Amino acid sequence: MAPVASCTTGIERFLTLKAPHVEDFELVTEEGETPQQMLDKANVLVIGAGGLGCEILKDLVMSGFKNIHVIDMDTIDVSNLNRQFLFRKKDVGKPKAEVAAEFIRQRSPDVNITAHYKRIQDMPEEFYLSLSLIVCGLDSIEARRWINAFIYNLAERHGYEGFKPIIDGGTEGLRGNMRVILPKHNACFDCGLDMYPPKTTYPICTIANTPRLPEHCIEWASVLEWPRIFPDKKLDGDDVDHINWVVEQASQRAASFNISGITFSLAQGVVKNIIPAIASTNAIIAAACVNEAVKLITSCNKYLDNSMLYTGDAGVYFFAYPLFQSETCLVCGQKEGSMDALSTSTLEDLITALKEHSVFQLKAPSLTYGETSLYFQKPKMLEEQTRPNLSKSLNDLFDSGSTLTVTDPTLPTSLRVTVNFSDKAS
Amino acid sequence: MRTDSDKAQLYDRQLRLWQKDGQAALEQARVVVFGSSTLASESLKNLVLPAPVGVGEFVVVDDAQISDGDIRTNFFVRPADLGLSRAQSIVDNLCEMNPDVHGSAIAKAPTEFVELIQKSGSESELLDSASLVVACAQPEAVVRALASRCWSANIPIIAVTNAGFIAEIRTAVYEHSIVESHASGRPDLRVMAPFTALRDYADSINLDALDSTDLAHVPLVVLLIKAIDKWAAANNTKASGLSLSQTKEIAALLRQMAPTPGEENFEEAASATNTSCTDYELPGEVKLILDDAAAKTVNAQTSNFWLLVNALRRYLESEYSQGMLPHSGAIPDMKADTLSYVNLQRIYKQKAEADKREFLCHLHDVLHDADLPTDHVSSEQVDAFCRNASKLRLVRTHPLDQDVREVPPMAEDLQGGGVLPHYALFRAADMFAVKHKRHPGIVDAKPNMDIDELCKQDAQELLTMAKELLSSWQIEEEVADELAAEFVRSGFMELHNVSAVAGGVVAQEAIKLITHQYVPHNGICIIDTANSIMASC
Amino acid sequence: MRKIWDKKKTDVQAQKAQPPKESPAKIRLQKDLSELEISKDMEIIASPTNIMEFSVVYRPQEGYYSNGEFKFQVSVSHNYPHEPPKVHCVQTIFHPNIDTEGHICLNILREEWKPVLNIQSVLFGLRMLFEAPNPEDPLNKEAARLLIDNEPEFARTVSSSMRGRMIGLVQYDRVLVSHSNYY
Repeated sequence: MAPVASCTTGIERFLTLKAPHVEDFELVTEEGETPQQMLDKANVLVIGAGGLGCEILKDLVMSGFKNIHVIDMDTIDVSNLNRQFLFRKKDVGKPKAEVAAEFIRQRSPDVNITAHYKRIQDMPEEFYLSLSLIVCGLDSIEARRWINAFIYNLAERHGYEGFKPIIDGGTEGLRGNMRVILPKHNACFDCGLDMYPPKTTYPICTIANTPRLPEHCIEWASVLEWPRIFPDKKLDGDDVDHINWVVEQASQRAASFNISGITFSLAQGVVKNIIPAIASTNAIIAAACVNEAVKLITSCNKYLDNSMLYTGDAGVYFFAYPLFQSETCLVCGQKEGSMDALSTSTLEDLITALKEHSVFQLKAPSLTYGETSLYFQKPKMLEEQTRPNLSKSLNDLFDSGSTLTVTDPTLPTSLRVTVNFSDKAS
Repeated sequence: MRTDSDKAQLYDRQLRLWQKDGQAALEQARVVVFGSSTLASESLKNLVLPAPVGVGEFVVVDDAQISDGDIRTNFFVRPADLGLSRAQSIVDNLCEMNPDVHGSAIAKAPTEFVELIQKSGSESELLDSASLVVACAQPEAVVRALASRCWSANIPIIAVTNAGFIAEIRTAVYEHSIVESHASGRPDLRVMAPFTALRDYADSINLDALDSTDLAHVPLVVLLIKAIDKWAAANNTKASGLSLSQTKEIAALLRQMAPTPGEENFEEAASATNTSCTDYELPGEVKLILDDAAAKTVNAQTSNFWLLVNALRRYLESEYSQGMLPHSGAIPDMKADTLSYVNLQRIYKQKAEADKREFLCHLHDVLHDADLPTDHVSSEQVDAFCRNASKLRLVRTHPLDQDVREVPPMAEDLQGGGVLPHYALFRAADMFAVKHKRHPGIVDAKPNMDIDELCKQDAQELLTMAKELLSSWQIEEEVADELAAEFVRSGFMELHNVSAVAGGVVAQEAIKLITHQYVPHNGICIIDTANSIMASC
Repeated sequence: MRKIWDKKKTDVQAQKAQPPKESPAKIRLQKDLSELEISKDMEIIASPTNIMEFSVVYRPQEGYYSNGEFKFQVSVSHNYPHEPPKVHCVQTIFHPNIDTEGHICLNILREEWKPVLNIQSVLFGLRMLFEAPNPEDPLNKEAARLLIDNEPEFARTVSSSMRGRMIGLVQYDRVLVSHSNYY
């Protein structure tokens, strides 16, 4: 008989009851593991300990996750306190990841939570390999692109051992979105990059000569005047003195053009590209993300395929849809392949082989290996500088088993080709 | 106490969404919550964080005691409080987050509370002073009793409940008016029928006398007026009621007029012909509000919103308005030199001010008719109303206290959204609980029964009840066995994440209802995260 | 999660590939650069060890700026092509759309940037600026005014600025092409 008496929480009940209507859900796997055990041993990384991150941490702990890492390189600002509920006024200035982790530890001492006051780029590969999945609550497109490309590659090289689903959440005002990214299985973050509009910018000539809006005057002060007056000092959007300087300059300019509407808040908004953020939207998106994490880890219900939009400006509107892989994606649109070559053959031989290869059929390949540009077909100067490599033998350029990045006019993005020296078994 | 500038910093990210007015409304609100489970604490968390809710007031009514399960799934109870009042614990922990907030707990079962109101009216004051009532995971009898009371007092109520991976959020409000809807509308340029100052300004510019640089900085408003004039003269007709092909002719004309092909402001004007070369029309939502019975009579009890709408009706009937709403005074950014743009801005702003003065005359008439003093409506309210006249919204939901056997008022929408079975199962589950004194899938009634077997039986019974409901509504709709099984599987216990999603939505709707900004949903929202079906109607 | 991984029908097997040291941005830039179609009057100065920063040298063959040699510093971020490359004119020159600080008013470098654009588009945009300076949306107002009011005088001023003269209060850089480099 099922041990129902012990079900004191909803999640326990879901993990211990039979559910024949749910495909793939098993009370014990072939390896003898129960869903509860999977949840207990899952190791989750939360990227970002801001508005979404605080919610994600709470949601993970309250769902029964026991092993959590949180990484954030930011410190706490007073304007975070309206929604980042693991922080108090006394914490302003301290690292977000550490304060958030400490709060969680106090609330739930049985949870094993580790804070990393670092950049995601600074964590070693073994760390990422030790994870079960990643929940992302970031507002930076650049950081999301980095982790996406990194994790995609991890799956590519390590197979299942490197398979780390990324559940990505984002919010803006009363709107939000969520993506369930299964590396090598569905659309990656870069496949949907078009959905994220670039930051609003204004024509520089308008800023310089024909301002119409208060924003134009603020950009004049921050983009043109600041670097001219303070060539050695970077404008800091969090420094009240800096913003006050911008406000003053912008106001004078606005007055001379009969433009009104310069305020401290607007100036800071333009300089820092501030996106309005509130607790409720973060709560919705973060919890939806962790809900997917529970389903992915335990298989207790179908996970989302693979994207969801939420808008709350007018009514409540959720929209779930599958985003498709893009052929021109710079991450998962890359083609993969390997080639055998003699270690003593030249780079030119390799290029010829790439052109004559029955599958690749390249026309004019350019090759790099890590930071090293091996050969560029164009432009002239790069071609001239890399031409001497053509006659070098491959073992002078890289080791057997190295992976080169190849671009070619026939490829939508690039080809990652691993070259094995046939005369030196690696 | 926080100073204004402290507040500006602390609440910066949300002030960008609802400004000072919205913030003030939040700070004066009083929210009464029934239930203290995760749904309640997660909903309240999102209201307590952004603002002191109420002048010290949010109230949680519940008699539940903290269980071990609560400690593991409700973030806002303290592990040390095991066995104590759950309502008190979440109040204490929520208040700890934001020192500006005051909350209190009433250790009474919501069912008992509702009975008291119905019998003696002894607790009704708490309800009647609320700006919003939230019922979290309450039996339908409690929801209906609260909803009925709220409906007659025009207090919005949100009822939220869940079944594992599935949640339902229902809102009922007799009448909710919105001035600042933040709706995006097409720009109101009035180039088809320029008002005097705009006509004079356009006439003062002679395109033929401008060099190519100056031509490249003529704002699109002027270009459109010139092109429309030219087109009308060439066709010997008046520009009104233009067909799509005629609009395209004007666009082509603008491209011809450009000093160099593709000149940005001329291009901008050509693409604006779609939205600007049409006859003036009142937005559909505004028309509905003006045609509402409430817009036609006034007395001393009439709300400010309807007083203003009455005045708007009279304004629109006046010769002055020519059937057009007061102008908002705002124009979009457009390619132009500074001086032309600033001039245009001034022209539209002055138009808006003149419109407001005219509107005020009608408002004063209305107030006079209603036996109200002329300062009854504040000038800030009048400003906001005129500025947003084209964005007015009115929400009237269906009541929540109708008999479950009657056809649900939004049946068609629910069916269209694929969630009618969910709705039926939620109602059936309540009927099941009333009948068996336990939730479907919960074992306590038959302690010796195998849980899997019990779930199977309960799912069958629940399915039958849901089907009976559908047939009593005379709607043909299949209810999948799997869905009924999923409902029973949950035992109607809460999952933290689903409660947090639902709590987020509740808070979002609460904020919209309290601030009278943005547009709340129209009644029912179902979120099924087991099947990725989400619908709201 | 094993089942999720195994569901992929096509063979997803571990490649023995190495971790890429390059970001998606760099791969895209490699593609952009190695497929550039550039004419004789333009030159890319790049280092094989860091392609994210490079220079463009442009020697217009005709128009007001012929015989000049103009240098631009291009810097590509790791968020490329979501973000446009940053382009800066290294010299102080007299041009309606380039100010004396080297800021360039070119729509595709700011508000009109789209990820489908590439380095080729940027070079094309720069060429257009020198072939047909646009006095209608100026960055250097004096230059624009002069071009509109007195074109021959504008041409003379450009040519004297290119010799490194002082005009008004501004000392311009000598940018005349040195014939030894000319090809």
